[in-house]
Amino acid sequence: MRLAWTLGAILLLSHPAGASAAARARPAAKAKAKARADGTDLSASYSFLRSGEAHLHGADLSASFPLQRSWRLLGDLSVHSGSFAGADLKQVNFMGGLRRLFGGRTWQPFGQAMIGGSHATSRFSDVLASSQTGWGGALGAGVDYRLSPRWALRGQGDYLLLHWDAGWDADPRLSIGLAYRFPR
Amino acid sequence: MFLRTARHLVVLIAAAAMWRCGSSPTSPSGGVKLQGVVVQDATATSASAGVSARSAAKAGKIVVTVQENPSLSVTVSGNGTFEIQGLPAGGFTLVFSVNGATVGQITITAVAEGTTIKIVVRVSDQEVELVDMETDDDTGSGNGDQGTKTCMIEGGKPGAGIELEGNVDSGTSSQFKLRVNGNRSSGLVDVAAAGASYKCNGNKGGSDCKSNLKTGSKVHVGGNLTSCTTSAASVTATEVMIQKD
Repeated sequence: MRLAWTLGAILLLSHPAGASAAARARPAAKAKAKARADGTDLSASYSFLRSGEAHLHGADLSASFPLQRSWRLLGDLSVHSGSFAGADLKQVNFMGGLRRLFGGRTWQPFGQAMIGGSHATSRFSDVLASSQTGWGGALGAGVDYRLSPRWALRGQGDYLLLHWDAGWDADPRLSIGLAYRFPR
Repeated sequence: MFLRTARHLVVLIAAAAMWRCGSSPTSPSGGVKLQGVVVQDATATSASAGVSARSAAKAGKIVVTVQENPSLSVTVSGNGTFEIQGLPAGGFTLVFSVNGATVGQITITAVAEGTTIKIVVRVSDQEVELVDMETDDDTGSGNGDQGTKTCMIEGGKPGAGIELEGNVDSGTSSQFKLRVNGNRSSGLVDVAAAGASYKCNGNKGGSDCKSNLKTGSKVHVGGNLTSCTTSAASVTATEVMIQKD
């Protein structure tokens, strides 16, 4: 678990010396990348979550706000539901964090780290219901495929690392949807 | 370089996600598969179902261990789900522990090879209660959802042992009708309990306990399924535990 967090932090924060030199050698590309980083963006996606042993489906809504250069402030809300062994399950994840954009014209990859929580509800046949909240965060990465100057197709994968009463759970979440970037 | 790093990050996340999306690595394949949901700190939402709210369970790490093979052990996930594969055909006992302390066990009998069993379990700080059980027979035979039903009790096999949870619908301590929890039985089950030993939750048992049985009592019945059709079932009880009057 600690290894996953460390690995994610290293990848997000990595800034190899050769990278800035390469960027200086391509000022035009850098300018374009910076331009793309401007403006708030919103995205809405179909989302799949493996929560414990259950396969849940739902929606993921996120918004990111430019901070500086390629860094963005990120808010993410996802709702998933499904059934397992006869019980109906629902999970709401609410997180915030930082996203780092990487260069690219048509394809723009990004990595992100968030902290937040998750509220899970189990219900059986309208007879029994229980719920609990877990806290932790998520590490993720994705890519935007630009369809137009404002619209992009977004694919994203996250690893939700949540601490419940039962201990730590590491659950993958895969999302695909559309992103819209507002002009600044 | 940035793009390469990003690509590596994407590949790493995707690979990890795909690995996690597979079956539980701690569970061997083959035999019987069990999928379960533990409902903890539960509140009843329907009084008509005969289930009432009880003291909240002590929150903590819940571990399910197979008594016949203790190496088969899983930790219940945050949302209450768990899965165990490679269970022995015929029957097995699941032992539930919360924070290392055993709180109860559930015995499941008459299970055919290749069956997937789905259970809903309620765990409190004092007991474990089987709320619902369904079976899917992968071979399409037997009493599974995909085969022809011959017994109104899910997982029930005439002549074999059986454990049932439910409420007394009518009758006396020597003969009563049981309304089984959840959807496990499509009708009332006749229970012959004249020779059964009675126990009361929190009480040592005896004749006083036996007299506590009345309509609406919440009971756990262990015994033998003497006969079962799609419209009627009879159990000869060897033990009746009154969980709540």
